[in-house]
Amino acid sequence: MATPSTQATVKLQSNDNVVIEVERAIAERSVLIKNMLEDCGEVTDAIPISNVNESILRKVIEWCEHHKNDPVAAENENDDSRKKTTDIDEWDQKFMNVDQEMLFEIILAANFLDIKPLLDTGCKTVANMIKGKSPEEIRKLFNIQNDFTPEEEEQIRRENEWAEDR
Amino acid sequence: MSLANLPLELLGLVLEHLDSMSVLNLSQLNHEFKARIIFLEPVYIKKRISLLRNEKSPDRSTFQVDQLFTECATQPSTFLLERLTQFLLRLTQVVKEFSNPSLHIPPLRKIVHKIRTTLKEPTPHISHLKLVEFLTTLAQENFHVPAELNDHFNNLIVKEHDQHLLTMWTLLQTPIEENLGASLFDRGIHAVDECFSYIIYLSNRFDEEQEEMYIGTDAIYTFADMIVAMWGGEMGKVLSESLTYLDPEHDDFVLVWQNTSYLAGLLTVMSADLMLAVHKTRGDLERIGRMLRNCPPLGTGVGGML
Repeated sequence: MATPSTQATVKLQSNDNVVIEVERAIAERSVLIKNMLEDCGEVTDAIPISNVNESILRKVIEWCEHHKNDPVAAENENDDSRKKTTDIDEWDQKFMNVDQEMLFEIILAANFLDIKPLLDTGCKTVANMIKGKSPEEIRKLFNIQNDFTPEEEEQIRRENEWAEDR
Repeated sequence: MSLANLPLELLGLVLEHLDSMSVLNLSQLNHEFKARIIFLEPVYIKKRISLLRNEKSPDRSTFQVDQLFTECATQPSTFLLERLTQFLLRLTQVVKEFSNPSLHIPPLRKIVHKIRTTLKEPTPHISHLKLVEFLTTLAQENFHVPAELNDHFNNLIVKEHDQHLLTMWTLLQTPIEENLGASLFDRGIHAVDECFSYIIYLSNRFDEEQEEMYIGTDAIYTFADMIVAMWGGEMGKVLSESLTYLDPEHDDFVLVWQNTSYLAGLLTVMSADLMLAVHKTRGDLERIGRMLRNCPPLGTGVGGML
């Protein structure tokens, strides 16, 4: 077991080799980093965040800074409590108001770094973009190619006809 | 990175925040999404049910049952009956926990509509199998079957001149009794007779299409489940447990295996176990023997063994 560290800051290195120094408490919003620091004790070298580039890493750090005082969810907390609603607070809505490429990269980074509240916020944002839209509208929004033949589309329409209220 | 290539586990997290209609819409984007949603759907349904359980409502039981059936009715479905059966089983588990587990007709109406539109031109054997699975579920869970649905099945069956299925459907409509009395045993024998005949009837079709092994086994499990549902108690259990003796190398059954089809072997195991463990009278054995001898694909080998 490593000796508990008292270091105030840690260095994170993005996959494009940019080193960013952040408060340890902020970095520890990431369960991955928190566990790493607990296991290794004092870490003077930059921690490589191999899946995340500089711009996404800075964005994630920005979120962690804003939420650094949020209570950390208990390990055994029922997952349902965080999934009941697609409501997103105002600050997070603005934070997530980015282009799609960045939005999905944030989600991937949150998943990699194990920051559940950020991952949840990202997924809720995507869900809110999908809700209430027709398949064609969703295709347009996310630039998704429709590869169904007309016959297949007709078949799908028939399959799903029953879900409509009559 | 985009929605199109979001890893499956992360797409699953997005689904957890979506209503059923949106999930249905996602499944219609393209082939890839259709496959992904079908793959993720069981997890999604579980989560949705879990959420509905926890939501507060002034009239908890009614609200939640209605919600669940609305969810059920709006799920995307490619293999309709198979998945409806799964839905019903899953939903029943939840419904049972409420104080008032009565099932409401309005949501079932959607199911009826779906069945009607899907089974207008059924693929002969698959639709029958799925239909039997569906009926089995209804029977197992004591679902109230609306007259409209009943009529539809009967019309479908009569139209196709399928007396086996008609008989089973009739049997399934008979209330499940708790005690195994003599009259119920008679009814059970009749059901076994019908089931075996129907399996053989199906196996003849599968032989032609060289799907005997896969679908044949599937069919037998379906019928075993149905018998368990109809009889309950020891006889059903024995029949179900007998399915564990399917080893073709088993000495006792090797002759049967060599001389008859795969399905015939299974039927022999099932019937022998059933008879030996539950009803050992000579009359019973003769009765089953007669029944099996009369089934064309089995020939004299199976009857002789009995």
